[in-house]
Amino acid sequence: MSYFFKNKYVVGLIFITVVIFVFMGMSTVERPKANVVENALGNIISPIQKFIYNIGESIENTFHFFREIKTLKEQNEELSVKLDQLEHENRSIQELKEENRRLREMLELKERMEQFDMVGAEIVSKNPGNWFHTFIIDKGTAHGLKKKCAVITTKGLVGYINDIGTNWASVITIIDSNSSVASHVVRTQDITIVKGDLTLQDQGLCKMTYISKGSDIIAGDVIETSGMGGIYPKGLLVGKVKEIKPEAHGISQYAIIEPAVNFERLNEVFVIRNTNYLISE
Amino acid sequence: MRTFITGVVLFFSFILQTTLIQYMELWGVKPNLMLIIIICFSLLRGSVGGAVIGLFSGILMDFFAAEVFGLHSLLCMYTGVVTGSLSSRFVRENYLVAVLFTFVLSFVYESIFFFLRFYMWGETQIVFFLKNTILLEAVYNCILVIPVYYSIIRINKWLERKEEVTRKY
Repeated sequence: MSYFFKNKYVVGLIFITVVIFVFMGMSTVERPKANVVENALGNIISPIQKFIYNIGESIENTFHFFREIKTLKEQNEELSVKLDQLEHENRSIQELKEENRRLREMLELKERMEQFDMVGAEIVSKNPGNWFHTFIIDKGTAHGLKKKCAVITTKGLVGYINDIGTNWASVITIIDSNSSVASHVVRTQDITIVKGDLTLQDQGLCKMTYISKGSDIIAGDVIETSGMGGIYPKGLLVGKVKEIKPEAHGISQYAIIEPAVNFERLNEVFVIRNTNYLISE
Repeated sequence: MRTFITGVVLFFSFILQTTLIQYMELWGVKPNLMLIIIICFSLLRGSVGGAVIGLFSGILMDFFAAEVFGLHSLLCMYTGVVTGSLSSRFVRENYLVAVLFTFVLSFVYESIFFFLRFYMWGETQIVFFLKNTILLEAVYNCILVIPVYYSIIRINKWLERKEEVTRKY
């Protein structure tokens, strides 16, 4: 035993281990933004990551282009037929939209989306390991973002900001196993929780838990955020029910959810800047 | 000079890991370039060098993991220590040795990570993850280690030559 403590190297290792344990304890405390070291490191690294991530993206897009070139011609013909149809429909929709707007004004209802103060951001890097689905974006406190701001795309909900620096922010996606979203089923008004699941996250799916056995949720039901839980504002599209399965203990059911967002090919997102304001309302 | 070059290599492999490696996903699994780099360096540098390199790459990973700080740092450091102290018993510049180390240590690393981060918190499907993530990643790492080890050996030789030149004058 005395040999061990005479050996400087072993003592050094033990010392570092203890120091890391102390840091580990400190890092579990909630904080409004990243500390000075993390912030500086992020500020230096994220522009380089952005540059290289974009290279990767363009390489992948090139491959994608060659793979798809066969189907493009067929699609083109189909689409031009469709376009004619849609143009026709569009005209009637314009009329309906105008009418809708007038009616809304009469009811003093506003479009929900208009309340959101959004800022666009680009993904610069993703989590290095296989266990988590988080990514870093190129906007931070300098652009008016805060911790726990909701992150969306035009398709639906992506996640929320978990850690933030001056010009970077780390986002936890809804498929990550750390995430849970207070949500409700639009058709049945059932209140549920959509959670990320370790076994499903690689397929880009997540799980909806605590569904009572009597509930009539079916595959294809649309899920939206419920506005509870203090992170996400109400009415953001989460996804659709893919499959319903009984829980192993048999008391309740769970559903597999297909998020509206495709996390595989995600490059640009929007951050809702006034999330906190909307919730406190 | 040696420290600087090693630092640059670590820094760029971290950037590659978070950017380009993301596009190399097969069956939902990405290789862990950082771990491979740590193992390669530790094989050539021994236990102390391995510990330092492991610690720094671990800290880098922890900063960007959006997780509790320290798990990667500790695991990476001890990966370096273990590889370094065992390396003297093997022929160092042998690719088979590198592959063997990579396979075993990737497996152990990810298993411990899974155990501490998920199993202890109630994620009990250990067989599923051993098969679908941990084993797959270990195999993937083994393939990637060959070109990486080749380049690390080249860098190491180049550095040694340079140090000899400076020592003469």
